[in-house]
Amino acid sequence: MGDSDHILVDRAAKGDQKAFEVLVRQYQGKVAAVIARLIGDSDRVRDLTQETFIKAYRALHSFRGDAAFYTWLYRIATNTAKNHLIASHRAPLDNDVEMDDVDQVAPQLRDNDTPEKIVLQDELLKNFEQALAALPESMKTVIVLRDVHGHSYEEIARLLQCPIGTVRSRIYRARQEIANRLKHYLRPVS
Amino acid sequence: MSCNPELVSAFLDNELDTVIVGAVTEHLLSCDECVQTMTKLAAVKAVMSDKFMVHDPEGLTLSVMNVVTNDRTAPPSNGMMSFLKKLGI
Repeated sequence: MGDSDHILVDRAAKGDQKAFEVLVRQYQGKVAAVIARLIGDSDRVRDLTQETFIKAYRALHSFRGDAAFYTWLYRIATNTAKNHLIASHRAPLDNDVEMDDVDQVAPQLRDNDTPEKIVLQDELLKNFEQALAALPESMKTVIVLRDVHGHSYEEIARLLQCPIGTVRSRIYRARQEIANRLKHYLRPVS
Repeated sequence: MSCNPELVSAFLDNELDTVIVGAVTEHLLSCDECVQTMTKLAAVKAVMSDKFMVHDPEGLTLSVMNVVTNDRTAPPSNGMMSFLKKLGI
């Protein structure tokens, strides 16, 4: 577990709700993405993401720190998605079904997406691709190396032969630029 | 420490130096502006790596925390457990 996760989980388990809030802010996007990939129904992603965090909060005392916090959270998210699939479609799935099995079920469920939802997600991804393409090459390279290929800052610095501070700065500025271009989606839903 | 969005971005990547991770974490616990920045940057990080973005991430956080704040089924904290043990419960 990363040091910051360790600090935050420890404090949240002792009743510090602000510490739990920081964990929610940090991981809600990744959790929502995992659930979306599994259930293919964008209307329910938000509810199931919320359910995942509430389950995690209630079970914090049982988290022993043997695995990374996100690994533990990921497991809760996939189980929440699995239970949703079973409840919604009454599929005769064993309760201990592996998520590989759910991966096989989920693509069929994508048929439940309405054209409006598909258009909205397609529109977001199109705007995202445009925002990424509009970045200066130096920023685009570092953020792709980090967020798509998963390289560490040190590896990126070595690959590009620049200081780690430059890598850190470019990654932040790239994210900020993309956030500015996607601000319509980041605002409260009206 | 003062607000530094670059460090917030590095926090999301678990790329902070050991010597400052505690200070940045403490800052995030007390600075609304920086946690809101973190929420936006985390949404961008998710769309970069997973091609999915949750709409209105700030609203989602508030919804979760609204339930958590009013949650009566949450486990007692370690402090509460010690207190109950002292009472022999």
